Amino acid sequence: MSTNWSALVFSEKFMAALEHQAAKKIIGDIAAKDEAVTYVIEKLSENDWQRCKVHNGDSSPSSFLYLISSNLIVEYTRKKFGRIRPPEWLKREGPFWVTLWQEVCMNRLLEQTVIDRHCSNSSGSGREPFTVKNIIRTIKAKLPWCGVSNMPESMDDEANAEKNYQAEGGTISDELRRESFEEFLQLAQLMLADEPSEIEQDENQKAISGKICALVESLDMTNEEQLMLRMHYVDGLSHSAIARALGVAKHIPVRQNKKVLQRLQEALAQHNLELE
Amino acid sequence: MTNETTEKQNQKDHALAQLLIHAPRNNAGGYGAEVTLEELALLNEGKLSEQRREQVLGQLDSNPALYEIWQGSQEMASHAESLNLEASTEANRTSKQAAPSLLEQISHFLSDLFSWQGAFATSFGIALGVILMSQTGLDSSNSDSDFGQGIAMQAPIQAPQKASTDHVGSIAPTQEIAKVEVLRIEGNTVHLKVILTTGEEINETYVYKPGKQ
Repeated sequence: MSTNWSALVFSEKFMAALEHQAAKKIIGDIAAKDEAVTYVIEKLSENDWQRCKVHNGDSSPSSFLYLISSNLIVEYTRKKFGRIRPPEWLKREGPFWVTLWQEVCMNRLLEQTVIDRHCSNSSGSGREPFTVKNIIRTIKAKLPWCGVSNMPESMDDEANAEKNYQAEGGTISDELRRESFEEFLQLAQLMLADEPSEIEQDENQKAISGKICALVESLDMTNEEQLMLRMHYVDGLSHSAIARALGVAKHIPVRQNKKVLQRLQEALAQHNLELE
Repeated sequence: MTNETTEKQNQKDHALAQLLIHAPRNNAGGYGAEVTLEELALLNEGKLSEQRREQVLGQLDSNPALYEIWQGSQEMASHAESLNLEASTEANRTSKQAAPSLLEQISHFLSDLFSWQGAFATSFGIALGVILMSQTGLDSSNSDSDFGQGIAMQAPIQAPQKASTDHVGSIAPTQEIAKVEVLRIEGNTVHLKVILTTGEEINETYVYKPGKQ
């Protein structure tokens, strides 16, 4: 049976979902949001719905449509606003951190406003206020100029910019992970500090970083375990939202995340390594 | 005190998670072929094989741009789902409101017919009402159809659009539509060419109004 793509696209539910997603991606610019909606519909309907007709029928048309549309919204924002230049470590944390950085540091929105925006029921994202608060705290600790009007556009120098992990679709290599692990160890230490201050980079710190990196690598986690951690601790999603997204029972993400963190904690203790 | 301890523990968990998330993967086998959008849709529906699923999850974890697209689609689906639930709750409420008035009408009718047997009529009316209400409840519980495969794919084009758009042109609801082409889109206005089964071509204009039920 062939799918009636125009009916599906112009259905009330799809249009509402599209509007909602465009509004989430484009903050405070109604005209650009409307333009994004138009862009997506134009691209979808181009050449007699050619983009949609690539669908081979294994998945449901609506699931497929959400994915192409989400892709097109991202494409539109990149074309319209270009690539913003947050620090490399922040980009490595993923798009949610970049969004928070943009809202708190660039647009100078109040912390509570940002938390409400991402954690309200109507946002549909299933994010937890504590996690979002913690991410904002970490960004602010790492970037003391965050929210100041004359802040630099980016903390990265040109050499670092060359190490870009290709935000447009590249996979982060293990080599790059090893190279920049020390930076994330510092970030983890910042998260634990009562009064965030710059962590000293000395030879001793480098050696500890190397040891912890090797230790974590040897834990041999599954991809599902790693993704669940990312979804909760980096993207701020609640465990129930993760379970829904990955199609697993509700108790699985919370249990798995706990187990993995415990494994790391035990491994660190065995080697007399401490984060603080 | 307990809150403080919980917060400390949460911060510690976050810090440990940072290390796990950014450590090398030691993934000698790689993540298989590059994932397609169709495969991501299959992942959302739980239709990928175990092995491929694990590979795709690895790609999502290691590729922020891919993850962003996938998350966006999840949020869209979740929003559409919440609209489905709202519509279903509304339909339930309406059907529950409609049931007593039907009951009332039948009771009146029976009461007029058997005026000398008022008590009998009322009890019969209540019994009939119970049956009708349970029937309506059954119907409305089935009304929450999947929008992708149910309403949107099979309904004629007027049906889904009526709810969300202002119809500027005019097509008699009984006429059959053979094909619809999008001529152009201007802001929230869509210009369509509708070809009827009779061969007649009609130009239509729809104005989309967000949030309008």
